[in-house]
Amino acid sequence: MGNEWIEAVMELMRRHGIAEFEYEDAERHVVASEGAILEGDQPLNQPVFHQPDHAPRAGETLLAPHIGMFRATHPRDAEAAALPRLVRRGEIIGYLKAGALLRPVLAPSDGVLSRQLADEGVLVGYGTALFELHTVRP
Amino acid sequence: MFDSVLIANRGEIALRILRACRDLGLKTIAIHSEADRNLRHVALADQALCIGPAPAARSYLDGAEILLAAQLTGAGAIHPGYGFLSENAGFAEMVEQAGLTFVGPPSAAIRVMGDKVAAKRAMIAAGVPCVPGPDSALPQDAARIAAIGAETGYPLIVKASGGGGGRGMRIVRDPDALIGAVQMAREEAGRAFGNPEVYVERFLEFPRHVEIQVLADSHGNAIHLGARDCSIQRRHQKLIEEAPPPGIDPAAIDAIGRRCAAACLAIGYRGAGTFEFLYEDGAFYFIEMNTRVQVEHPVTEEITGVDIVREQLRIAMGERLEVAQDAIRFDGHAIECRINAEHAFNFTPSPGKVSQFIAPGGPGVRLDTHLYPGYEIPPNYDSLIGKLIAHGPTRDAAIARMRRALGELAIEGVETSSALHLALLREPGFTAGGIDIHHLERLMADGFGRS
Repeated sequence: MGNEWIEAVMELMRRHGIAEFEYEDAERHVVASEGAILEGDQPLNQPVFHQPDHAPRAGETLLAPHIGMFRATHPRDAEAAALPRLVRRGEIIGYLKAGALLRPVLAPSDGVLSRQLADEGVLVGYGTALFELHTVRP
Repeated sequence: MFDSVLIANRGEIALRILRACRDLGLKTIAIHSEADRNLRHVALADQALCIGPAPAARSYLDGAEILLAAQLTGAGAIHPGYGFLSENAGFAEMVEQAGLTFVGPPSAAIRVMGDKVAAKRAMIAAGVPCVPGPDSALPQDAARIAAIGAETGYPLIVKASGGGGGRGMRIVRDPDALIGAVQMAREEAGRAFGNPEVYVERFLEFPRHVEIQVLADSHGNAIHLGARDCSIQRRHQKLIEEAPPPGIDPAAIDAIGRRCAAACLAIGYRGAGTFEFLYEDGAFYFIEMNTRVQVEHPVTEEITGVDIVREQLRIAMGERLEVAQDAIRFDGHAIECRINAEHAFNFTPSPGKVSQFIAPGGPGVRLDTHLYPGYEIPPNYDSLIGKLIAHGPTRDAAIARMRRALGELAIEGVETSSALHLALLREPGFTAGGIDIHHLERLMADGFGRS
């Protein structure tokens, strides 16, 4: 699977107005979003970036915007979403619970959420590392 | 009753509170801003939590976030220190309503004493002498304002009911200038404090700043711990404080102190507090009450042997005052020099890394500071980095020890106010004692320290 295949995928996405494309087989995992591509070996913990014109940034650490008991999932959800996963800017990726208050942690940009850095249920301070995000930027 | 205290402050006072908590066996929780991760008390606390970025509005002044931090960490009490939220009645009320203990007076007492007009009314009712002038805000009618001005006498000062620090203040020497000054003060007060109310009182030309330290418990006991003289000021900021005030009859201090203690009981006050007075021609004139621990509390501790922060905590825990008024003994003289990270004579702030720090020592010397070698003083906050306190059997002995201590103090990497203090300790007006609050400004205007 070479660059020609990826370029064909991008062209099809442009032509048909497709925002996101994800492909996974035994050897590779490719995510295309808004004109940029992430590709990684299985499992996807070290993404390989292609297309220098649309290079995603290196892994970015997302910090807690408030204090609170950290939860990666909403209290009513039994299971956490598996990582890595594609997230969109503004998407709720976690919560900081303080008493009855549940404050969301939002993805600052589109990208692949690759690692959770804080344990579920621990008290975190402002600026505590919560996730690693590989941002996709055209 | 509580067994853990959240310290809602920073710097030297946060460390001072932590030490008092340790002495009482209380667990400590340090909250801090992103810029203050390396503060000494943060390292020493049983638990530390960063609550926000460097700006105080998003950290030390964010009452809701501080309260959440207390609830998340299981703190039983919140000690606000001085500055920041220490005199914010709304915050104290939030803490009370959350079922936690505010280490300070009840929010209702803070509210009364925070409104200068209401405070003056309460003090007059309690028999505490006030500066001549009505105990109510000025009306809107210009003719009535003029009549009040004439009754008060000139020169007079127009002050904001809801604030201090020089904002919303106007000195008026000519009756024709009164209405314009009131209008300007109202506008300034409205912008600065959200309350455009102003009042007038007689302006004292050459007063000293003398204040009375009080402690009151919740069992009907209130005492005073004597007076401090804080007349060395620049732009309303105190630089040197001492206790007792030189040249004032101890019997007069005791008399005014007992009235202050009685006033505490009358207004339902609890905790540590300070009644600030202007002192001129042998008379005390109440100006305001600080409903918190003061920066300069150590000089009182040195001459009385009472640990004021420890007493604050004990009172908040519902305990009785350990000492009665007649058991208080005043021993010698104490002086405090505020060590600021700023140029000694032009007062330009000097944040940065402390490359070397050597504390002075020896008999009668105490240094309350959060500094250590390698500490980086952030630019975001007040420039106070330490308080050097000297105690001796006499004022002259305390001054000699302070000179010695300032000579030993070594802080490198940033500029400090030490040189100003050394110069002041040799200045004839200060060494004679009894200078007024404009003394330093006059000295600076005459080029003091430029040589």
